[in-house]
Amino acid sequence: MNALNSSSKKLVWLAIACVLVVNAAILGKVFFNRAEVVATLQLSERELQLPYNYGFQKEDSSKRVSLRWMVLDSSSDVFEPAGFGWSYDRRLALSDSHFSSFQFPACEQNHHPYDKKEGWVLLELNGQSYADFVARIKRNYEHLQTLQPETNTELSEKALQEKRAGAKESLNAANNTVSRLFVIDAAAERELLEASLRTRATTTNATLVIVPAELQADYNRCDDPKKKITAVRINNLAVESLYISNDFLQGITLDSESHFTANVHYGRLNEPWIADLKVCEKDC
Amino acid sequence: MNKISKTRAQARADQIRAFRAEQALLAEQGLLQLPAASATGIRAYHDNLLHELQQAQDIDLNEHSAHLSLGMQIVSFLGAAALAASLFFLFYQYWGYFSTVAQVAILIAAPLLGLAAAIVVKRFDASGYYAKLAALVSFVSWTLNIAMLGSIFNLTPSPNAFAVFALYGFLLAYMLQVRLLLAAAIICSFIFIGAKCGTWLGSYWIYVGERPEHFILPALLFFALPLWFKQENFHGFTGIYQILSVVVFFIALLILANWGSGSYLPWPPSVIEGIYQTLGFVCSALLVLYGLRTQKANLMLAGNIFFALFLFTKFFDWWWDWLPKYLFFLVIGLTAILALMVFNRLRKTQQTIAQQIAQQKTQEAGGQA
Repeated sequence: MNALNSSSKKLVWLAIACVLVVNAAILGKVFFNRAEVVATLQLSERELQLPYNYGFQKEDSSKRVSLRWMVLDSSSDVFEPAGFGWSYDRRLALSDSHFSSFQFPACEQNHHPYDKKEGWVLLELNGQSYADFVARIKRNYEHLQTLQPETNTELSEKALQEKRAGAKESLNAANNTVSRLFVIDAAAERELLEASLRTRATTTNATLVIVPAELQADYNRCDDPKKKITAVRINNLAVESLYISNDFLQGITLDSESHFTANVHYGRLNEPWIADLKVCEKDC
Repeated sequence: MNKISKTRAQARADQIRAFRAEQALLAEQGLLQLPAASATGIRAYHDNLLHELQQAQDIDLNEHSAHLSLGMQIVSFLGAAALAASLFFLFYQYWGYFSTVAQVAILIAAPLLGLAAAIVVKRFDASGYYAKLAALVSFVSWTLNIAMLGSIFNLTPSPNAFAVFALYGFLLAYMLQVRLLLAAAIICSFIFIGAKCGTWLGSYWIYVGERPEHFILPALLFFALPLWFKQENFHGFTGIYQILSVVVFFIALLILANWGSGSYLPWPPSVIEGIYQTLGFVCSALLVLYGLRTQKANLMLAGNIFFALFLFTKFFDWWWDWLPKYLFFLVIGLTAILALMVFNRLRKTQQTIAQQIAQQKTQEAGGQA
């Protein structure tokens, strides 16, 4: 028999205490976060994307959804927003005070002007940014309707028709399937966003929430030292993937074709959770 | 028998084996004829001692068993990795069928059950391999516990997770003398300390690996740790601390010596690269000397390898494009021969010193007689 010696026995108790104390701390943090709902977003399959069932996901019996969000770059002249329906372009122009709060290193002093930083972003659901986004797509669609083929050939006629069809599809998607969740502001400190939130006018339907995120200075920040570029790129929200509790999935099938709505609560620690999920036959 | 570490027990057993082999050889050549009573007494004493050492530390009593032990270590490592992967996928396969309360209960129970299994198995398993396997499963369950609680409750990722992984890893490693868990705990500590340094310096902790300087300080700390806290009772722990620290330290230096832009230092990349190249040469040469002085062959070997790496990357920088390839490889070959001559000289110096010490001891012993 190789029993443990007295110092090893102490380590056993320490290991047990480690497991119990750390779990208690995590569950305590969860309880503290969820004890008060700071904001609620009513999202649908437009903003919550189910994972594609391939690779490792086939082995996972649980269900998660990812938050889909966009950035409307007001400084850009591009008629159709880049990253439409996707999230390739996440450039956001900021005010001087919000940009300087990140204390990005000066371009000439540091070889890391694009280091990623932790910060806070202001999310807007179904608000002015979404309205502007739809208006921009609509303008593009209407503009294309007024155009004539550049040269009177079958080829240019066909090219214009294709552009019009694309614009119609974009308008339809903007109205019905694209996410209405937009990142509209960012700062290094939460207090800065809270201050700007109080002064911000918004549409009646809009919901605003401040959440942590990972971001970096825009890639063209150091291109021209004379231009003062105060734009950032939003890489990720700190929590983008939301777990769907087994309780909401009893007796329902949830797949990429499903229509559903979910109430996503944000708690005291800005951590979200799905508080309710409802699957609908067609649009909810 | 007093508490003795496995390293010392194995060294003593090897010494007895060597004594017996030499004694037999001398007896064959007629140079040593011990009286029968003394020979029997010594043999009985050694047999008894070997039996006690074997019982206490499960040491290898001959070369065949040493080879088998190495095989068992490899098999137990592969077994632990496979069991860990199996546990990981088992969780995911059936995870979605449980309620949140059941999930939390399973997650908390899993590492504790693994720990209990390790302690129970340790009572009956003299070799300790099965207990170590159970400890590894407990550690994997612990990492799953923390990672999946974060996943269920959508928690913001935090570097603190690596601190608790490291803490539990250290506890299990010292409890059951598992070197693999010690290595895992040290790596988790590197990530945690590096991530915290990165956060204090203003970057996002997930990208800790983008700045190799984050790892230099923890590597030095972990290298020095066994010098402050002696690890004599823990077989191979000093080696794990120091070798892992040396590898991390020199890889960080090697990256910075070739990619100055990854540094926090506010100078041009070429200057930074020059500083780290010099530091790399000096530190690896110092490590060779330290390994020689403390008779730690593994540290000396690591110093040699990294010195060669620094040298060859420098040669590559200077001459790869400039010299014809046959000349480039000729230079490398000649450098290797030069290094061989230096090591040979060092070896002869060491042997001369050892011979002088041995002669001195013999003379002292003769004088006393």
